[in-house]
Amino acid sequence: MPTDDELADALIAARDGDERGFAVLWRALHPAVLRYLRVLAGNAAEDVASETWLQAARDLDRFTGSPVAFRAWLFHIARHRGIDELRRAGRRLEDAAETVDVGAAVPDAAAEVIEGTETAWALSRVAALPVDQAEAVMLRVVAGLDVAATARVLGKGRGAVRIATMRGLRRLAADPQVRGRAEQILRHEATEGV
Amino acid sequence: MRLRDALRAIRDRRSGRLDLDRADPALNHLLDAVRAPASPTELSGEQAMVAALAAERRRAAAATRPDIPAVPARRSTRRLVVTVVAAVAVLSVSGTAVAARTGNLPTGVQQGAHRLFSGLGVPAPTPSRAPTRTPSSAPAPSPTPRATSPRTPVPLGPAQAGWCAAWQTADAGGHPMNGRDRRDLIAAAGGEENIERYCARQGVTTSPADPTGTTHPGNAPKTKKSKKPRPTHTGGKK
Repeated sequence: MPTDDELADALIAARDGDERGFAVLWRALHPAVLRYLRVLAGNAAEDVASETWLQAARDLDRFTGSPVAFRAWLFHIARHRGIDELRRAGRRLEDAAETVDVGAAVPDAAAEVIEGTETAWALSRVAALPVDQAEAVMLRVVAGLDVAATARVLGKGRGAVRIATMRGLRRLAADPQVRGRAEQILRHEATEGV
Repeated sequence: MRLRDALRAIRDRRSGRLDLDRADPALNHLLDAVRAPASPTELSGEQAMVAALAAERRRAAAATRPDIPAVPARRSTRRLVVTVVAAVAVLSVSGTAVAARTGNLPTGVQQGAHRLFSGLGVPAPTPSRAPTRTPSSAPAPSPTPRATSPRTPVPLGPAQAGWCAAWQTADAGGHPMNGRDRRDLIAAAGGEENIERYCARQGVTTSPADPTGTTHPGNAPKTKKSKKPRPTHTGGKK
């Protein structure tokens, strides 16, 4: 992960249309954007992520701020693009979380686009949350935004963000699949003698 | 009250990791997984995407400069998005591969899939679904669905779309294309003179006479300066 200084330099370079600047930004932030959009927009995530980045590239001269602010700005764009995509597909935001199911029930190969099967599985559990909780968890935990930035991206109050995050995490902790997976792994590690 | 405690804990440690993280091994495992380091798949297509972003930034910068007429970027952007995404999708999604093998893709995509993967048994589009072309301007599509491709196999990945985008940029007088990609593109197209046709099949128009190009700012009609090509949502909700 590049330092804030490196990201700040990359931002300046990218604003001038420099490929190396975009490479640093993309490598640092694209995985989180893609994962967030996988929860929000399901199988359209790659498409929406590309649109997000292209819009960010277009509007970069309008952005002035720190790398931390850029991260929030990028996720703000990603969210609007994701909602646009849902609308195009005739769905509402409230339905978003139901769109990703990478479990055995959907033998769709798109799920395999994410190579880390553990990550794909984990995202599918987050996506099973009510959408406000899923978004809050993704923005806080994966995007690494603070409460204030998450609140701005979601257009909600800070209190609502805190509550949604906490409820989401609590619900995940109680999810039978999450508990089962952890037990399985612990047992496996025990037999391996790790 | 557990709820109030948890709330306070999150509030107190808003800059650090979330408090519930470490409390529960099961949740801990899940959160580690969602923020695991990027997989190679997630970072695939970097070169093409980064080239597209830099090109988009330069195009937008040119469009907002008052002395240069605005360039309608929307269409080319759309095309780029579609191309990059289609390349990734065609190459990585085996569901698409199945569709390709059974010949169920739209004609253009099927043609592309056939060209890339004919060795794997991906058929050409059926003639009835092929677009009508004048015989003089295009070669006849391969009539045998399972014929092995006479051409050397093209490397996998969204690289082809990236090459075409870079070639197009260079051709319009922009950023020059890097030598290796150029060589690969020429090899993939089967000669420099075939690049335009090759890229057209990839969905990237490479016509140097593109009226949206920035090479002849003096001839282009004056349009409103600083006019954004499309509304954006960065300012708030729609």
